[in-house]
Amino acid sequence: MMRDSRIFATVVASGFAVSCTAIAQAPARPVAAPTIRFEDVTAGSGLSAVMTSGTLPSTQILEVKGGGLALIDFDGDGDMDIFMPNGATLADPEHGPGARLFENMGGMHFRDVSAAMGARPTRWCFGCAVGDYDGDGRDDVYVCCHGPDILLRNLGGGRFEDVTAKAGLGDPGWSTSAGFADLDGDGDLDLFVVNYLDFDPAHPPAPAAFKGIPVMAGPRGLPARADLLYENRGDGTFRDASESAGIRQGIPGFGLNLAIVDFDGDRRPDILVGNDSEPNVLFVNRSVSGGSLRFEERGMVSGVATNIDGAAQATMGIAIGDVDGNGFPDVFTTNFSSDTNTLHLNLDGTFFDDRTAQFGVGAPSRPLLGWATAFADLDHDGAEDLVVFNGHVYPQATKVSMDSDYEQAPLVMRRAGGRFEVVKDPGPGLLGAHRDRTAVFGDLDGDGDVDIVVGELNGPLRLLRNTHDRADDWVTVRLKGPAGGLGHGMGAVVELASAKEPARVLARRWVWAGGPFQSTACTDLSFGAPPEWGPLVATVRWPARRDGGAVVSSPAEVRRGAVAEIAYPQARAPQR
Amino acid sequence: MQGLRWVSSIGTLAVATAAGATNSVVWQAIPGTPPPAGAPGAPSGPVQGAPDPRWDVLRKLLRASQFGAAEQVARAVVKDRPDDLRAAFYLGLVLHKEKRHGEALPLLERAAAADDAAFPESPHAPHYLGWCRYSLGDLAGARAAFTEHANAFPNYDDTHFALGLIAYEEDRLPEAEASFRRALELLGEQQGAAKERAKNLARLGDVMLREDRLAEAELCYRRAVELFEQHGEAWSKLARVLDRLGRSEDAAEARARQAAIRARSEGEGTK
Repeated sequence: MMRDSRIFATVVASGFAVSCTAIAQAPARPVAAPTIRFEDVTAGSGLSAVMTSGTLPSTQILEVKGGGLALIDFDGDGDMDIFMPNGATLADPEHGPGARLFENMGGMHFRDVSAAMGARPTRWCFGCAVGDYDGDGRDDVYVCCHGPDILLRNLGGGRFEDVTAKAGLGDPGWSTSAGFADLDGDGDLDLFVVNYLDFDPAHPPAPAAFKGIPVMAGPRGLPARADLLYENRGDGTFRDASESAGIRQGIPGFGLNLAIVDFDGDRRPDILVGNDSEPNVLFVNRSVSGGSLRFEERGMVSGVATNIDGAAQATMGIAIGDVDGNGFPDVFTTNFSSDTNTLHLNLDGTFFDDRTAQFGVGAPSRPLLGWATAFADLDHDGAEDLVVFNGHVYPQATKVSMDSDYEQAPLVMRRAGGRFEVVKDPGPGLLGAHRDRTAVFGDLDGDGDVDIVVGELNGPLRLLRNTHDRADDWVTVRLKGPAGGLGHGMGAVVELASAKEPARVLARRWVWAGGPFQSTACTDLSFGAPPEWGPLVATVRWPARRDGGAVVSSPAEVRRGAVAEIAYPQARAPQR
Repeated sequence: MQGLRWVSSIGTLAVATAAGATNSVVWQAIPGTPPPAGAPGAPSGPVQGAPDPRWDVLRKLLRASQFGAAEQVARAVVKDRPDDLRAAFYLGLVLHKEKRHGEALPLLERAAAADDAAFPESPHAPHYLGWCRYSLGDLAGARAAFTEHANAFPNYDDTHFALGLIAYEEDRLPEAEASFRRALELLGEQQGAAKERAKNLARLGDVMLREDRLAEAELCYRRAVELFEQHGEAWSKLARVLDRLGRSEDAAEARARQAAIRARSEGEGTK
């Protein structure tokens, strides 16, 4: 539903267009010390859904990952709607309660439009990816499943068609996460699918032990399943390019999550796969213009595969941000209890270094088992904060038995100088213990701050509203990519800088595939923009294309309290 | 032997001299446990309650790393003597060794709050309390406990190691370096302390790496794997610094060593 309280203005400069969508009604408030505060506005919002994932208490590994979530503007009205793939139960893995789709009606109100979807998966689903794979201007959805995955083509009007077979997809394994990105620069979205392991609900493995307590088995001891790379042929079908592109290098891992982002600054998206209890893998994009997809695995050599001690971690959640401001995307991952979450700084595009300790993000996470996570400037002070949703996999978990409770509160950390500090009172929306798994982060009510939808294992979705509510300290950038499937500028990086010193970047955000956990990172880029930064400009560094399209757009003035729509340059912009 | 005290670390129990002197004895047989009665440096003092032969049983089991059996004995003692701080200490110690820090914490807090004379091992309760707090993510609490222990026993290498870890996590790098160096100084060149020295060197290397002192980091990691060849972490760190230094072949060799060690230890944990 289109919000009607905005004023649109279009500016054309230097061969690209900027549309500013201003919030007219929100008055500026007196400047106060930055605070992070969320309220739970689920009740009465219309967002009413339980994320099914087996039954409680969980007895098998299939039940403990929970499902994913996606923010998708399925009706193209400019706001973010919510898609939940949903799971099933061990008793009937093929027939769960079914996926849910909620239309954003504005003002934190949603309408359940699931019944009108047409194709509505009921199989046990996990993560999902959003992207316009067929370039028709409408976002489609890839759903990861235990059993054949599902590609839902958006027909418009809230209806979807299952085109899995037609598209040449439908791998029967257990996949957890996926991402769409133009990996070969040919102008359409390719697809990377992260697979977990082989698990037969009819023949579950014998229990294992954790801290001396019998628990469900896995992932160790179960056969890992190799990830998949699908090349978009451009005709609505995909080709399995895993082998030829070099994705099958090394042994398969227990894949849980991914981040497709240009880690080395060559304008080609690379792929980081987070593996559970196995080293992460980093597929560096070596595809050449006009050639076929080609990747080099450099996880270990780059330093991002393990923590500082060389230990493989669980790697559920992945957040991407420029923590040290050096222009390269850094990686934050969430991990198991009695371990720490980990922050890998991207030093130079080639090497990562575990700087968990430097930024203070390790110790507070030791008693927690982390899942969905994101960097977001929640208080609009100009620096990205950090949120992690938590909950143990073992129902037996208590502080006494496993140093970690089964239900856990979110971990909210505010960036304070060179460190992140735990926010003890982030408001009622972020207090309280849950079995949280997935989450998506985005401005759902159009007030410029980042809100959150959280998915809890066998619990109701929660809608958390950021109460920052100021009109004068934010900028949202929405990219309008080149024709075809790149409508959201997937792979681009946006730099916000002072208009007086365009070379001095104040903040940087990537449009990346993958996400918090089994979910999809929001393609609208939210920036806190404190007034003391003065007038601002945004520069977009677009991903490389085979046709030699422009790479960097000229700095465009952006206004606070507005959504700046920046379109792909019509003419070649000067390259840097 | 006046002035001698016992000290313990994760893998080795050492006996060190009082403040101002370096430790002179390393007691290799007992992983992380107090010395048996009569051992050099074993503390003496009033024992709460009547003598109980189970103390010796407990110590033997701990020495043999039979933590499951030790837990059973410790729980029986605690059940019989619920107010006995020494019993609480031993059960806390056993649970700490079993990596069940959450359950160990209140026991060790009780033990650490006791007067030094309450039971023989009482002065060292803060050390184990520090490790529990550290493992549960409470850096400030861990720092307080280890600092208390370091003030009482300034020559206890493992407490300095722990203080180095905490300083590193709190991004106080000069302090971290000083703590690791102090621990290494205390460990000296003693036979039997190789693993402990390697552990400190690997962490000292981390400080160097953080400060981009790559050549010094390499030296630390190299020395660590020379001292303790099975130090998988150190091999991994050596590989990483060699990659950064552009010596990819050497790095691959170091990484292969780490992979081999990892492969041998596979299956030891469930997650």
